[in-house]
Amino acid sequence: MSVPDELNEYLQGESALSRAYRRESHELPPPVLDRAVLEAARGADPKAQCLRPMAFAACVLLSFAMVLAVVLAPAPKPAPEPPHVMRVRLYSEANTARKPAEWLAEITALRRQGRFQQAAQEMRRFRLAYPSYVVPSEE
Amino acid sequence: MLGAMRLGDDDADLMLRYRNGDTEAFARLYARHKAALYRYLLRQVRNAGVASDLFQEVWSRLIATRSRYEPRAKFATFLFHIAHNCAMDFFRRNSTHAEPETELDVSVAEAPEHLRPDRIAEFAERQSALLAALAALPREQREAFVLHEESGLSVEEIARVTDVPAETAKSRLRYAVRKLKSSLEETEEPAALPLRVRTI
Repeated sequence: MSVPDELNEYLQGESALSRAYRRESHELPPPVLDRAVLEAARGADPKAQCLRPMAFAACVLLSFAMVLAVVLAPAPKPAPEPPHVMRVRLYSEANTARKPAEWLAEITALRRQGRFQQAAQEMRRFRLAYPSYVVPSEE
Repeated sequence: MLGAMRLGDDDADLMLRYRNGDTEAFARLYARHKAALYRYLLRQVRNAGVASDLFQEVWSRLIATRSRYEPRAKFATFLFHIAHNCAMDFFRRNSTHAEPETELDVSVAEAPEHLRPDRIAEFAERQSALLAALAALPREQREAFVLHEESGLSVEEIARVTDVPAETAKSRLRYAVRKLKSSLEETEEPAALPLRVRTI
């Protein structure tokens, strides 16, 4: 048998050599390789990959928004003013050193001098300091 | 062995589906070709550890290049071309100890693990006479034979996978077949002898 015939016979399939080889060739990759390859294929899923830049962009946008919020936020409001009552009381305490009669006399003097606005202001302060004091009608 | 051939090339369809994100298609493709690919690499490098590393490398390359896949040729040709390149890269990385064309002529002290004659002999001892004879063939002849047996590639496809002219691939396969056939006849002869005695 010539050499080409020998090869052609083999290439036609089902030769004794092929059968012998198939009987003996049974090695398989270990299961750990199967898992590694299939995981790699899933990890490279184009759908998952196309979501990655979106997730990254979302993170960047969120961070940027947070920075903007911090930088552009209005200055913190000052602490709320103490309640008006408190101020009144302090004011009242500060002014109770003046006797009601003397204070009213000063207010009357201011009116006589024509300084009505100042007199009215003093009168408001007096009433805050002595809310229960009955002011004579002429005052 | 010839299973992939008989399946036709819906392998290419599976690969295209995987290219478009269908990982189930990849799993089917992998199941079809993993055994043939593993045995091809094992026969080439004659070392299970190296074969496993290269096996992973081949699939990794296929996964990485899937977006450029075009079904111009049979899928097995595409896959085994990657495998051939991986094996060649491996041999080049160990190029100071390039595999000898005539078997077992590397000294034990100089050779890397996969080329040490004692390791190759050990590998051969664990196998049948036919697989041992195959392991002793020059790498190119071994490759041509295994590509045909494991994946059913034709001479022209073997030539494409191994980047050589068809005549070269044919010549390699011819020599491989001749040597293996004679090896097979030698091992079968003692078993045939008592049969003849009985018929007389």
